[in-house]
Amino acid sequence: MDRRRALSSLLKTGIIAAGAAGLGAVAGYLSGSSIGAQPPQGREPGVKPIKIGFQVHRTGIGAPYGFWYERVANAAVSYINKIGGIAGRPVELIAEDDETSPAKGAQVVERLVLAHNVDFILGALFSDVVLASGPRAGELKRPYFAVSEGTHVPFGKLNRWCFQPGITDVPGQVTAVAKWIFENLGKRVAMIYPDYAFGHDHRDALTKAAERYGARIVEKIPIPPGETSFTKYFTRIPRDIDVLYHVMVGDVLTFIRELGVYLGRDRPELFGFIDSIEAVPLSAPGLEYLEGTYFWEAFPRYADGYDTPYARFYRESVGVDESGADKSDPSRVSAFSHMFGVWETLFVIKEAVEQSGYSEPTRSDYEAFIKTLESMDWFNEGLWHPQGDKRFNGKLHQSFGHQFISVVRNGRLVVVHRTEIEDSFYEHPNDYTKQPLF
Amino acid sequence: MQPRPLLSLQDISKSFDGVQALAGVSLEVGDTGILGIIGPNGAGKSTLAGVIVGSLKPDSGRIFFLGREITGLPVRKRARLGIANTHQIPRSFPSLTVYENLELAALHTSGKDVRQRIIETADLLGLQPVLELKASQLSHGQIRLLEISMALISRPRLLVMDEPTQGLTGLEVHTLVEILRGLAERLAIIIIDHRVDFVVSLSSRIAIMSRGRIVALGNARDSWVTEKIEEVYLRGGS
Amino acid sequence: MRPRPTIIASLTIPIILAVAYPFLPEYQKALVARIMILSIYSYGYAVCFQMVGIMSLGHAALFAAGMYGAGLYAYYISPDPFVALAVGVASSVLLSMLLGVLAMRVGGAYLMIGTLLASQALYLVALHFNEITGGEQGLVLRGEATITGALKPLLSELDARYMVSLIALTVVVAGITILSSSRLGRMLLAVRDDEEKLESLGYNTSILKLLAFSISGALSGASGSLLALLYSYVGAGYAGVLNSVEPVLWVLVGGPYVEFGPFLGSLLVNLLADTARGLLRGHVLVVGAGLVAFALATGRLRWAYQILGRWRSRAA
Repeated sequence: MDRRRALSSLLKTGIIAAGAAGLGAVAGYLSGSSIGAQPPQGREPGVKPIKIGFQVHRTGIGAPYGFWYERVANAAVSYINKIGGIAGRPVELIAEDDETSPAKGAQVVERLVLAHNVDFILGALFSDVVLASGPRAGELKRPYFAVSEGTHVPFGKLNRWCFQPGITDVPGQVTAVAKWIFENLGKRVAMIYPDYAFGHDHRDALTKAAERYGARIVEKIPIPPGETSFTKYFTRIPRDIDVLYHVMVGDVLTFIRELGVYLGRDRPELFGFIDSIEAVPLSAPGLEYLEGTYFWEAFPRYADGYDTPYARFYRESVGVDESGADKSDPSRVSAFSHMFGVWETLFVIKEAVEQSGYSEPTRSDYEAFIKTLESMDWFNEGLWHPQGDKRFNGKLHQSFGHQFISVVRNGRLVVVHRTEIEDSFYEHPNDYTKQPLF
Repeated sequence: MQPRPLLSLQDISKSFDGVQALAGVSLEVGDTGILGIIGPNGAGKSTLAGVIVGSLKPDSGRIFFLGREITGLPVRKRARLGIANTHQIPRSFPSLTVYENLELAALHTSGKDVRQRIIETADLLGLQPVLELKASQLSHGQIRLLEISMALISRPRLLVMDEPTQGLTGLEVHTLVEILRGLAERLAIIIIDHRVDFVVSLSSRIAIMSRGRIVALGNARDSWVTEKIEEVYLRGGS
Repeated sequence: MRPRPTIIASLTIPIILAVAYPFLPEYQKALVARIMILSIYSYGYAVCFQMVGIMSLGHAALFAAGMYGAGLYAYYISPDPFVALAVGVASSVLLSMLLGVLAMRVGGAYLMIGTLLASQALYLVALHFNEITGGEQGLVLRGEATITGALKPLLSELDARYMVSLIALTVVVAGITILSSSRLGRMLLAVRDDEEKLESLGYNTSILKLLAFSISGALSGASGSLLALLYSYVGAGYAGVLNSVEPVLWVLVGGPYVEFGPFLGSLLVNLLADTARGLLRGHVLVVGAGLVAFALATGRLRWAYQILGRWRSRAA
């Protein structure tokens, strides 16, 4: 939208809204004036930038993740602009706070598309926000890239405009690590998980994997959301299990402390998902009990866990030190196993734009973009994909990748195994390519 | 055969936190006429009014109205049977106009021409010029008159008035006396007021209360009334 | 005396919104459509607070009952959005009657706490049965189960959403105007002014309050249902405390006229919050609280004080 059109529509808005409220004019002015106003940094004259809208959890419950997501997005965009942008055009990142709320998230999608006319949307982490935003993106015909791990993208709960190429999903992760757990820690497993969709995804995936590998989930202990004390659930943990599998049940410090008191030294092997202690320093009081227990990591927090030139470059670019903390504030631990998804997603967008010849938000350009993306099946490890190579399933719109298993040793995470991509494959009938695009 | 009284209280007692407000009050009220209830502060007058209209439940005793027992009936059911009341501090609906206030009060009666009755009643109490004003814009005296109008327009059989002269000017009191005299030919009125002269001049019967009991009851014109009043008010007891 | 607005006068807002539509920029269309739907919730709250003087802190329960009623019906039973709308409204009316019967017994401050607890309970129920409700994460309705989906052959989603919201708002504004100028509306105001006095005139004020609470529930539920059926998402977040507080702000900001106030309040708060988003990282609550503070400071909230004062003196 050029200035004149913006101005005339602003006048119209102003008059109408003034009639209605006497205040719409102000709002019309303020929202109107932000449309296409700020030129991106380092913009070459005459070249229109590619606008990427960014729905970010700046406030609300997701803010600790949002902080890191935004940091990574800015680092990736600045690197992309340094190497010539996308298809020779600079990238402009337009970030909007979704307050980690589904209602606000959907509004942010509207705003990014209708007010800012962005080319693509880099989406959120929290499932509820993704789930409320995806339909709006599909309806407004803007590609929406979740960085969420949730199953809504691969399991077909969203639509053809929603993708998750930059991060693996929970069933993929669980399927991959389950094989290692059953082979190395034992085949009798009890699991303790939160009683909502995220936990159910874990439960279902682990149960399926157990069938495949001849293991047994002898007890499933769901914890209701909002629970603040866990000991009463521990009585359900059978004595004769090999492994206790735990994931994100609530306040992790309380959970681990109570678990330590209950199980003591004579405990089964513990296997957890890093999500519980993501962005939490391992030195936090009460976490000593984790010594000698295992965790899934998507991307090892400690640099020596997966030391490649690409990972080093990525770590340097986003300003994270050797132990996964903020370089300028070592007490601030990063969301290392999630935030790389933002980086990789932006490069997937770059690749798909360049291969499809996308240039304008038009039907034909989006058709080319989406079909190109759906036909991709491999992302090579490199500066663009520092976590490792990935297999992309165009029907599910979902990436599959390597996973890491680490053990807590001397208060830090030490990688003991890296799974193969094939370990994470699962079957699902969803096929987005059969949905009409328009 | 003794005619059936309109209202009959039988041995009503009521206490608040151990303080006896009514101690075995019995009383009968006929179909017409004004019963004035006087007595010093704390004698139990307002409690008696509350028990009659139903805002207070007696601890013991029974109440009959039109021959049926109403002891357990809530305020609104007694109102529907024909017991109306006005309060010591007059109450109305400040967000509504005077007209709307009267309309609400008139709705439960069977009479058809509500509008006509509203105008007549307003005329009677001098509220006609303010019919379209919100009740919140009225003076204290006007609100008092509005509340009385609301009570009258519902065509009650019994009207219980708690301190109806409070806050009225001399002229307004005079008007009120005229109106009540006229009404007393058609319905029963119970007036509770501390202005003894006003009550005595208006009432056909007088009940004198002290310490939760009716200590004297009789024709207002009788000479013993004056003596008893002096006794109760000056010596503070029976 | 200030006369009550006539229907024609109070329909000014919908008429302006209809005429404005072709001229609004796209984003403003989407924003105003959403505000129209939310303002129906605001009207629902106003029936409770302004018309009958009941201060509730748990209206999110009624909103969410509508949302879940409509959403779950459309998701699990039959993808017919118009039946779903009826189911949604019916479920919130049912819940409001149930809540009303329980809460009216106590009244005053207890009623506030009672409604607050009820909405928290509903929130927890939604979380507990998350295999059905989708819990915090929510459910996405399929296209054909939504109103926008049903109208798709005729209208784009953006148009459909605006038109449906506008029609709903028009019906609600007309209904509220008729109600507030009706005898029933005056009875409700009388309950607000002096419940005991009204009883002494022979009225059953409990029935009146219950009726008002149900109308309030119907409107709140309609708002929740329409939101689910127009935006194809149902989630427990809408049953949270925040969603109970927002209509209080809208109504307070909107001012004493029940025909215009609820819409103007939600428009103002939401527009400002949307505008402040970039500048303040503004939260609706922050903006709303700011406006209420402004109104307090300039003495514009006396009407609300009066409502609360009367209610409180009665409860004491």
